[in-house]
Amino acid sequence: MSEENKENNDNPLNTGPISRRDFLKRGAVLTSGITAMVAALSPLKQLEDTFDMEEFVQKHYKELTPKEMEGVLKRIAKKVEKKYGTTPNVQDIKPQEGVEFSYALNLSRCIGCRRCVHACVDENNQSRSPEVQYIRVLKMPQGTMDMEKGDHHYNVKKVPEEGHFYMPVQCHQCEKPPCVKVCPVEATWQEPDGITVIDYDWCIGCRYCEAACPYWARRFNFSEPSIPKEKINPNMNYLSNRPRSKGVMEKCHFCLQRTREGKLPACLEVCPTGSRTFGNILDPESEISYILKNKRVFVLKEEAGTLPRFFYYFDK
Amino acid sequence: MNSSKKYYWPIIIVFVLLALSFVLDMWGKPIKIKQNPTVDSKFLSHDTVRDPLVHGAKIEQAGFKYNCNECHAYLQPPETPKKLIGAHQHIVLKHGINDNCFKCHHRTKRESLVDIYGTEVPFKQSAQLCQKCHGPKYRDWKAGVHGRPSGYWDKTKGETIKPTCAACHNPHAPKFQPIEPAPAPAGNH
Repeated sequence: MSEENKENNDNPLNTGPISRRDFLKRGAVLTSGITAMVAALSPLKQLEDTFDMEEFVQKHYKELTPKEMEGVLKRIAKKVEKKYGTTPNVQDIKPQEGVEFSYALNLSRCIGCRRCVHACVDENNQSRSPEVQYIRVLKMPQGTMDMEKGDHHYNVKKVPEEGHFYMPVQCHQCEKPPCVKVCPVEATWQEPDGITVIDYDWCIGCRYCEAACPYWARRFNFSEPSIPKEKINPNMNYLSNRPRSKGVMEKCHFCLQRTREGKLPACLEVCPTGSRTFGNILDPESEISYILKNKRVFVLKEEAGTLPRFFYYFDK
Repeated sequence: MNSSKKYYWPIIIVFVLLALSFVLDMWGKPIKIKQNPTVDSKFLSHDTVRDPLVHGAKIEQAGFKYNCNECHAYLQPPETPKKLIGAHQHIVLKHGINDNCFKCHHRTKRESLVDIYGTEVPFKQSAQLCQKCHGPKYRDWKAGVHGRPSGYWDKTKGETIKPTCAACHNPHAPKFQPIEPAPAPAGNH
């Protein structure tokens, strides 16, 4: 090695000519370093499935033009087809004129069989593992309305049990929803037919609404929802039962995809005791109006001032 | 030899190992999510808890089908039978003070029912018989508030299907029987 080269090797910052050996060695370090860095970023590959540029730049639900909405629905359908292998019918059904939904539940008749809980999961494409359920059936000791005494983990052979009554609790679709008030990004709002909905693409997952709800009605997707492929319900709606992603809120929406088409909600149809009544409160001839006129109904946590659209009553 | 040179190989090896570990995703604990069992489809069934027998009772013994009159043309039971025999053995009578067969069943026409005024009521319209005693419940059922509806709430788009009384209540023991509840929440949400 010449005197000049030796000098160059001593000073790594020297940009002068270097030996072939040094070039290869430094090159190897550099290449392996870059490779390691790129590899360190490899978890970002997983984002490919969840991150969607179109979704990222999508406007708020209320600002979407009908044409843009068409594109959005097509995109959702494509995504669902890719993930679950079924072609869904994704729609965006608008609320009907002169319709305001209300729900009533007869506590004397409810036997706590939890059919409603699972029919809801089946209809609304909720995650099975981890479990997301919109309805919580509280087992309450007779003689109290203290919800602190309610237990929804009861596991018995036969229901009803002696000395208890059962109180299913789900979203009450309040007229003054505290969850809507606290949303910092307006991802949740009340529709003209009384249903409080969530734009799952707009939700940032801050869970303020979950904390604000006095009925514990909101559920959060802590991890990527998993639904068996054969269990997917292809009848989907943008604001209701289309598959959600990790990190968004969801809750009962009175089976919007069914009820806006005139059908009854899934939890009502499956109830073997017929404890549930659903209908249009603006129609004086409807079943729900009959109950409000003839039964002694009450709402949960009236003092919260939320004006729920979900009524309970006792009636043997 | 230069002192910085001897670190080249260890650095390269560390980098390569790191690269390998990142690609194979060896860092951090994988999230373990408990897989919940699928819910039995019987809990999702829309069937009523029993068959309302709208076409009358079907008696089947040893593979032969009978209708009621085949026996009752010859056999006339007493007013208040002490023991239920033959095809009636499975019947548990727990209908409060209504403990007499002929308060509901027709004395001579076995394929029909009879109301308290002696009017013949076909099995198909059994609700007409029940309402003679259970007026307020019948009124609620008529209004669509008692019973388990299915179909449409919006009458302009479709009809609401209302099963009859006997679809949920066994006329011989009308109290709704306890049933098996669907699985409890798994608690991993």
